[in-house]
Amino acid sequence: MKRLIGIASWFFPSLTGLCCLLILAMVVIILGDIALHGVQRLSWEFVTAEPRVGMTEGGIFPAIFGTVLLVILMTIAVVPLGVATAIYLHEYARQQSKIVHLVRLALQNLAGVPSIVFGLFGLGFFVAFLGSGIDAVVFGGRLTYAQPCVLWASLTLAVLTLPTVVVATEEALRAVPRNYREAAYAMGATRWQVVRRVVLPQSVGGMLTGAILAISRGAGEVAPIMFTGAAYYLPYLPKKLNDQFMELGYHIYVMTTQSPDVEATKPILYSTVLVLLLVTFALNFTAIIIRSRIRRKLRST
Amino acid sequence: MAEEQLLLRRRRRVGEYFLEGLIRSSAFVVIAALVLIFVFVAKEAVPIVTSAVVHEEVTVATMMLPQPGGAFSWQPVSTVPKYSLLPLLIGTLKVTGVALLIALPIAIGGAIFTSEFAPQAMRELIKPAVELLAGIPSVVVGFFALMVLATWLQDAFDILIRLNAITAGIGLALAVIPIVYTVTEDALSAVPQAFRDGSTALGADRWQTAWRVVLPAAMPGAFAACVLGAGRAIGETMIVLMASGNAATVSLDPTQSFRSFSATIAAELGEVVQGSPHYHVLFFIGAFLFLITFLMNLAGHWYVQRLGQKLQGRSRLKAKS
Amino acid sequence: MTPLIEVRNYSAWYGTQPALGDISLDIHEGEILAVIGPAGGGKTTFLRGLNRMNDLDPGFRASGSIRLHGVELLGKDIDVAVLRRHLGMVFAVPVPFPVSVYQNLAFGPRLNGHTRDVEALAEKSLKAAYLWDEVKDRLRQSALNLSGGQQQRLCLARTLMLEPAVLLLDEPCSGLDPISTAKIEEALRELKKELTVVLVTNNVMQASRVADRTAFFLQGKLIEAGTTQQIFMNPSETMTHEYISGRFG
Repeated sequence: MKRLIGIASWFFPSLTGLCCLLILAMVVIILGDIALHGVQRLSWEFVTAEPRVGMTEGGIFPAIFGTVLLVILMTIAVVPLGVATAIYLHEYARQQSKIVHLVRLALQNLAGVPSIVFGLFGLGFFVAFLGSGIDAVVFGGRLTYAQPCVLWASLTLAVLTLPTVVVATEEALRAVPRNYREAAYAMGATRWQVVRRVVLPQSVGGMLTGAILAISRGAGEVAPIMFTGAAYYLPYLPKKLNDQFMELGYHIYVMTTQSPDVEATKPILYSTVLVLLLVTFALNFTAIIIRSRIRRKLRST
Repeated sequence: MAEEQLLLRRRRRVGEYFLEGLIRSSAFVVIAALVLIFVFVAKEAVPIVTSAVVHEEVTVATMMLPQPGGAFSWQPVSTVPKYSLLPLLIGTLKVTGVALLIALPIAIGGAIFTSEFAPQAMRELIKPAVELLAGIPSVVVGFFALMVLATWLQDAFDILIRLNAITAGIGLALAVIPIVYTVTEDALSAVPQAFRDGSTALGADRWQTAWRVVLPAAMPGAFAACVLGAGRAIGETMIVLMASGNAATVSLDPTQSFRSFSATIAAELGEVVQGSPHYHVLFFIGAFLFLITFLMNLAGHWYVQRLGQKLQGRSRLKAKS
Repeated sequence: MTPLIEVRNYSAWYGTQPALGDISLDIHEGEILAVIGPAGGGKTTFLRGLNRMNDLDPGFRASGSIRLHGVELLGKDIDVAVLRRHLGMVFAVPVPFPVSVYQNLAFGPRLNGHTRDVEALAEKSLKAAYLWDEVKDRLRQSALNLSGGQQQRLCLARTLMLEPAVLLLDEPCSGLDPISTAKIEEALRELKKELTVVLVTNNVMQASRVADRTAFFLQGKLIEAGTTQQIFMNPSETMTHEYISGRFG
């Protein structure tokens, strides 16, 4: 019996350690494989040139351009809304009130909605409902916005990334010492002035983290934009809000599953994946650094 | 005196009033967003129940019951469209099962190691690694599963069909592990150090402490992690879409190709005629997915909250005594 | 002479917990009133009731009357933001904002949209707070680089920037060294020529050094108030005598 306990006391911890090693191994294998294969075709030309010869030659510039445009529009929509929601939750609403509870519940569940459902929502709400409405009212029924386009895709992603922005901003608001708010109130600041002049300047980092995490998430999502605006190949770059666009993640999906000659496109495909990974990781990495600074501040107060 | 009275009288601040109105309404946008998602997905699903035109092709009953000849097939674009949900249900459950079977032990084990046994250096390695894993877009995981993993598995186990529930399940596990790991680790580190000290003082070793004291205390959290992980697995789209083979088979064999709910929507919505029965069926599946994941999320967060109350309640008791 | 501030039957609660019971007290123009008493006796609640800082606490409730120049301060139509500029407050712990010294000083005027004459006012306030000589060359540096005593005097100067009629001080010297304390006390003696000071302190000696009148709070009640000399030399309540002579506290 004693010996059994003795064995258990090292066997099980080692087993859990093995789990950690497995996770590490997975990360290393995936990233290693992609980096190794992807780096071969990666070049300045690859990220700045148009695709040629049925996408077996040339670059992926239109997809990069479309992705950037998509996340910029998304950020413009989601950051003000997310920051305002966080301010409401942390600065305005009475804590423990029913409304706060409800908003938090909605945020948690919003974060858990499958991304394909966001795609359905984007199609049903933005394209079919809002788009048709705009066309009927503004454009006299001419088909303008009642079609998948970069505007609707970015708004769909904005709804998807909303919880990310709110959570990150709220964490930053929490890091602003209570004292500061009190001192400002004592000097005759109104609630809005306290928020505007004390709290917000102190939480810029958190808002930035939220925005970056949202961008990194948004840049990698494919399911929500499949039916709301992404196109496999376009001979032109999107210029208007109601243009369709090419996007890195969608490009990867289509090239992987629908290419007539996978072996021929494989090197390009790997490099495209690597570009997408580099973009999202660079963003994540920046966010993690900013966030760890905020957390340090949070601990020190 | 009259002057003082005037000075202290509440002033209207129109600009602030307006901005505060915006802030308050933004919070309602969050609630509205969730409601609108359901309403607009459900709106397109309702004709399945109400529309006579749709009923000529499909009803709720024909989606559930066996078709003439006893078959259950999903063939929405054949001359006689068939919409049995059974193959999709089996496919979804199959891949979710495989993914959870792999992800749960690894993630929970990893979380236990991180919070109970790992040296600081290891901790600082594993946590960013998990964040990195979580940051990999699912389309990239799908790509990896399809291009690399499928070949490795086929070579190693001599499987006939390249894309199957094992390939997709492993890919899916990669997406589920970060969630389960993070929630479990949070729960374990929320257990007060005093619990561990108390157990060690009674002569328990670190494993006994972890297994008999810390893990039971963190149980609601670990359970929440499993529920949230399962919710993610059921709803995940790109990985399954790319690595499942997308054949709507009625088979429990994990080495067969299959088709899940989410992947069906992704694969077929692009080519479907808006307003057709097929279109409504896809939204019906979407509404169903929304409800399932919604309930699982509610349950998961309820357990997280219960963990908080449980640990708080205990430490309050402790403070009293 | 009508008092500047008349407090009548002021009671306060946090939730269901009573904090102050039936306080009636006059504060006269141009005096330093010290509020003394053991911790938890309601001194700070009283002070924060005067400029309605307590309103920020969601469970807080108050009844009775506080009048400034005859104007009821507890009324619903009172603009607390304006009120708090009339009754400037300095806290126990210095709270400089993490910006430059000058930006700290300009914070109050900027809230009102005042941008002219801020520099002249800043110099005057810093001099009044006995800080000018120490910071005049580092106005653009972060306020967090100042020592604790300097930070507290900066907070005093920052409050003076509001040109308040009344200065509310909540144990302003509790964490400070004797030299900084002496400088603040010196500043207060000068300041009372222009304004009225209410000084909450847990340091009985400080009250005796600077206050014209002293009020003694115990367990949410005002035990007695009078000239500092009377309270210290000839208190009418035995509790007051015992507290001042250090039997409890």
